[in-house]
Amino acid sequence: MSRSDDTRSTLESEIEIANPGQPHCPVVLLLDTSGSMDGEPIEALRKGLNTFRDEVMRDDLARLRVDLSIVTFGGDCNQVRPFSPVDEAPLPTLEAQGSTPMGEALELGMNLIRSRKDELSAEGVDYYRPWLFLLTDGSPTDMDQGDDTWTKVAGDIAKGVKGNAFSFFPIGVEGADMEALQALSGEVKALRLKGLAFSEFFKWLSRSLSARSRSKTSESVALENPIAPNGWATV
Amino acid sequence: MKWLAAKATGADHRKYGEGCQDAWALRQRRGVRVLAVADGMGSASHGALGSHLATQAACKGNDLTIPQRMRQARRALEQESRNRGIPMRQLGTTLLVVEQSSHGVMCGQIGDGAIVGWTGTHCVLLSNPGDCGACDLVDPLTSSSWKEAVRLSLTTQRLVALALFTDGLQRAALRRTPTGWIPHEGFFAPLFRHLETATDNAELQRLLEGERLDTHTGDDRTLLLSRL
Repeated sequence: MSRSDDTRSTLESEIEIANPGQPHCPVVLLLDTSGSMDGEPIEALRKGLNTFRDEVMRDDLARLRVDLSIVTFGGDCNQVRPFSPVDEAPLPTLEAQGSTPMGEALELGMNLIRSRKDELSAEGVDYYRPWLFLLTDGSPTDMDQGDDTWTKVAGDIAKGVKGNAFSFFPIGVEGADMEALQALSGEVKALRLKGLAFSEFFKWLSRSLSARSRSKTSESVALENPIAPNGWATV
Repeated sequence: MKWLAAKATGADHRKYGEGCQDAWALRQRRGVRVLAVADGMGSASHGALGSHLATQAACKGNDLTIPQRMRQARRALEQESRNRGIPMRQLGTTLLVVEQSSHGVMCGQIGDGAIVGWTGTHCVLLSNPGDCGACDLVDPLTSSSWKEAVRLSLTTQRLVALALFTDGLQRAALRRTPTGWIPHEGFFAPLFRHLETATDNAELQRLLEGERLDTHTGDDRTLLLSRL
């Protein structure tokens, strides 16, 4: 039951809260929308994203704290959704086309996280360690294992993960070059999505974010194991 | 000398039928006041017991330094862990201890929460939540590296009062800037004014349990105010 200001205790109406906003839980989804995702995969991804939005909105705290940005890479690479709560901006329309500029997407994702953290710090807003998800069904077309771009991207990922700048979740969809994905991910284990279980993945993500929103920004939360028999992934 | 104290259970804990895992304690003798607050960790099965034992042990005895008081608290947890046959981490708790006298204020802290002084016109941050940013590492008193994680500070600046609080109040009470934490005077000034006139804890208790703080944080919160 909500009380109006005049029935509040004196102290309650007198104090001023330093950070009236909620702490942010930044999440960046790097979605492969290259030509090979056309048809069933892109449709399953669209449905999965909608499920994700609905699930997060059902959770009062996660709804306020999840700070979602989406980058697509198919032909070119774009931030198609700026950081905002799930109910504050529409989900992007996903179209499958073109090549797989994965290196560019990863660099963009890491840069977006860096600048988001700077923004939040400048505003005095607390935040959880950001999560960076990569979902791909192919192999990068803008870099080859061992070339300069690859070395830089893999190095940046390793540095970011080791320095707790973000947590990285590389996920391969059917057809993905898992070997390349693993090589790029370094010490982080790359997971393979079971079939087109995007919905299961996104439900897991919303549950994980709910648990996280209930933890302190300084506490780590044990996530449900995605490779459990009923999980959405295999290794 | 005068003091006020209150604590409230966060909505997230009430939802799961859990009690408040914070604790506070106070000891006063011949113009020296020792105050402690602690936040039992949500991930520890016996966090509430840990915070209770730590604050009680920290306030025990006279003529002790702050490091000695923190060691005393640590020993109480080690003893309890042995008695119950449970790992130390199950008693996980933070601990903030202050000794306040006419000579000055000495603070010791492990984990988050903060200690803020009041000069009569403005706030001074005496002990801060630590620079953990978005990292997932808070060293509790039960950690094996607790000695390195203890932060000590001493001030001889003239203070009329001080506040100790657990991290449930952190976002309401402190602002984080690129250069560090700043106590929010809009939060503290009414509290320190209240400390001048209050005759009991009732109003402070209403504040901690009230809608504004309850919707602002789902976490337990504890606040001790003390004036020399």
